[in-house]
Amino acid sequence: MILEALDITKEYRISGRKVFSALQGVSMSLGEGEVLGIVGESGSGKTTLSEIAGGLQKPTSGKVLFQGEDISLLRGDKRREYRRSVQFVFQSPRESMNPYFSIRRILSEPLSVNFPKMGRKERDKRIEETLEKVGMDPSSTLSFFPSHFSGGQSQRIAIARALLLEPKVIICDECTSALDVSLEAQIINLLSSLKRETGVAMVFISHDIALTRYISDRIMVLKDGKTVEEGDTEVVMEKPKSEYTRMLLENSFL
Amino acid sequence: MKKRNFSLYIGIILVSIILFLFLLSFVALPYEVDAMDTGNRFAEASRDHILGTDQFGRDIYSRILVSTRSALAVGVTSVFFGALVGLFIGAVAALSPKAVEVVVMRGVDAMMAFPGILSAMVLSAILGKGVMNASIAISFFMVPVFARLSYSMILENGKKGYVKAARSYGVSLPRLLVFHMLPDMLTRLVTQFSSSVGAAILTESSLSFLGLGIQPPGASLGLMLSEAKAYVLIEPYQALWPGVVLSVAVLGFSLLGDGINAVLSKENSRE
Amino acid sequence: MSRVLEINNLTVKDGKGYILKDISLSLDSNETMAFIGESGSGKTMTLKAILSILPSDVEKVEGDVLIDGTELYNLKKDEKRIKLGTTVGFVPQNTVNYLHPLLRIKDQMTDGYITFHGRKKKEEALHKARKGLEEVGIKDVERVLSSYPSELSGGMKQRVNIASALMMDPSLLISDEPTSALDKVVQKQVASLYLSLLEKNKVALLVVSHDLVFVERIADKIAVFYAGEIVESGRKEEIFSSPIHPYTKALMALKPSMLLDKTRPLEEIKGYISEEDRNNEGCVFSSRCPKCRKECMERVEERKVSDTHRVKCILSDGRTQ
Repeated sequence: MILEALDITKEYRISGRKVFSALQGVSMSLGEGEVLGIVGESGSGKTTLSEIAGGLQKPTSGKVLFQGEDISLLRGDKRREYRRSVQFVFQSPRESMNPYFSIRRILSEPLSVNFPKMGRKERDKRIEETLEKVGMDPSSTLSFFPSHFSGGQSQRIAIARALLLEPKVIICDECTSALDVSLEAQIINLLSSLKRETGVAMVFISHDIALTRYISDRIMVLKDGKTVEEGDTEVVMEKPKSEYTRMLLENSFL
Repeated sequence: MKKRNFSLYIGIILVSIILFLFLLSFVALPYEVDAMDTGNRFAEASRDHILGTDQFGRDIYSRILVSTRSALAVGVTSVFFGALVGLFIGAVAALSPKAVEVVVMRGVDAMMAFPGILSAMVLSAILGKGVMNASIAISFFMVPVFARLSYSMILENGKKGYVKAARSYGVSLPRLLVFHMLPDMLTRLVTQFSSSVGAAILTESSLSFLGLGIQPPGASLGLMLSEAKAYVLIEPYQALWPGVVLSVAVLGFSLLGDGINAVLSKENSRE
Repeated sequence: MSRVLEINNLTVKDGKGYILKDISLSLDSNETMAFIGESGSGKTMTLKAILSILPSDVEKVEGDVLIDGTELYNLKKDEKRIKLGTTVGFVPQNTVNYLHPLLRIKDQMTDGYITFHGRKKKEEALHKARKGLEEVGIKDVERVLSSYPSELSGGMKQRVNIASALMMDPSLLISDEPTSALDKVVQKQVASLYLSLLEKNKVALLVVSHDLVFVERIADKIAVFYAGEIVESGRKEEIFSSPIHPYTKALMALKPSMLLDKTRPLEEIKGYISEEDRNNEGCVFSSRCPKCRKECMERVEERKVSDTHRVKCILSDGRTQ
């Protein structure tokens, strides 16, 4: 297992004594090179879970293991390794890149922060190779600002940024739901070919069950901060055990 | 149809007038502020005294020029330091664990509950009279405004994809704040800064009016108004020009703030 | 049946060239039409032209927009406002920002009605608002009426917006991306809601959506937009079962399905709509079209496949292959 979350709870205090439980004892595990799909309606806790697993939020209780080690105990080099091994691609293409940075700067920063000793030439080479990998032409990309690009192109660049550090896990949080169907297919194809070529593991969060089924090896269904069902994609899809999963499946196709 | 940004234009004109008077006070001051000419009290406007003289025969025009110095100095420095402290407090609250956040922000709320002029008066009374203390008192009431601003902006910006992404690849906190959050916050900071300078100038004048700010025989718009008050029935003209200049200053900075806001937010909303 | 909306040869330009080119369509009462196509294809711009809210940097250079038989762009500013206010109901995409945060639902719902029918009609407006809310399936009408927008859920706000649009008894209801911000369960509810509204009201519906599943369920007629043109239009069956234009075909292949073959890449349309495509003399889709020939770059013409089915492609000869 490369990334595990064990018995995670997350509570938010809202106005005084009231407590809102976003997650109530949820566990997840991700094997190397595996794609885990997390589905559920909005408010089910899927984003919170992924951000806790990726170290962007702290759980109220429970722990996250990266290659078997508790991330809250990682220090120094090990912590940096965890940081660069788990990368995100977010939903909104417009907000996924700093509007005040050129693409060159957006893509240089992850490298300069993590590999301060890397030479300029090597850095540029890596950036260009990665851009080509996601189907963008470096010469007509690097000197522009994010506003120059369409939603689909922005999302490709965001994926390139995640790939630059050669991560072991990419967490895709609704990364296609703001895109048109035609672009959605492009991005999904890109992700699955990256998975094949680089062996990167992914957490794929979506409310679109058809797409999640297409890309995932395993699936996890969340409802109101609890796991409803979990298992191999085909098993869950063909013979859903819970009423809720069945309802989600039926609703996917009106 | 294009809307013209009148706030910006008028704001720039009014603020320029104040800045021009401020410059004149250094290069072309006709009389010293405290140069009395008791034989020539309440003089009408003339070639020697273009705005006339006051109850001690001092040149009103010269006193107004010098007043803009204290207005701008107190206005800008107090907002600057108030903003600095406030931004820091807000940032600490936004980045701290929940318990610290709640304590700090409730404190800020409590500070905000006092009307600015009241807390400035109380502080001036405690610290004593004088320009320095007036500035401190005014910066004190600027603190909660900027604390709230930086607090809410940091929380809001933290939800953006690129900020989360930067955290995920390990950008350090100072770098995150300066390069990934500050540019987006600048619009509202500049706007708030400009409007606050207007408010600070008004407060400085109010404190001086009440005898807590600039001390006689120094010159301040508030002090001049206060002195003119005693003669308002016989020489109402005395209060006119300090009042006009004060209005121009306060209005100018507020409008400038609004105008800048309109320009920058329009740029941001453009796709 | 009466003709509610008719657009003839509508062309809109900005400084760089075409935004919309030669758009023609018509819609009768009790019919539903859907605009489909990717972002930047001109769907939303056409809506804006119908609502007469084109951005300041673009200009209508040609064509008519007839609503209930009246040419909109010949009307004076005030007449236009009244015409649109009383005959067209608009449900925006971003329902959250469309409600005033500081006004009770009651006050904002009745405001529009009072504007057009006068202050004396306050009671009537309130009655209409109640009826509208009931119609969109809200049970505790009184609570919703006295709520502020922040006290309502996203789905609820959507319903309030639909109810507001229905209050004026419009002959044309326009809905921009009604499902895109919602998750699948709520999407289904919205589709059922629209269907039941259409049954009860004599109203024509115009929907912009890139959700093909939703469109298939709700629409009678479909217009496929690409780079500022309608490249194919027809009845739902014609577009879904026998599409002719290569773009429509590619788009139909993208309809999500549980039967996707996991071992093969998803069907995709490579590339993006570019600025040059809009001003292309030939077919706007030629730069991405897998079947593109040399002549496609030079000319394009519209063919009539049937009385209702039209397509802008010179390759197909008007027949399904």
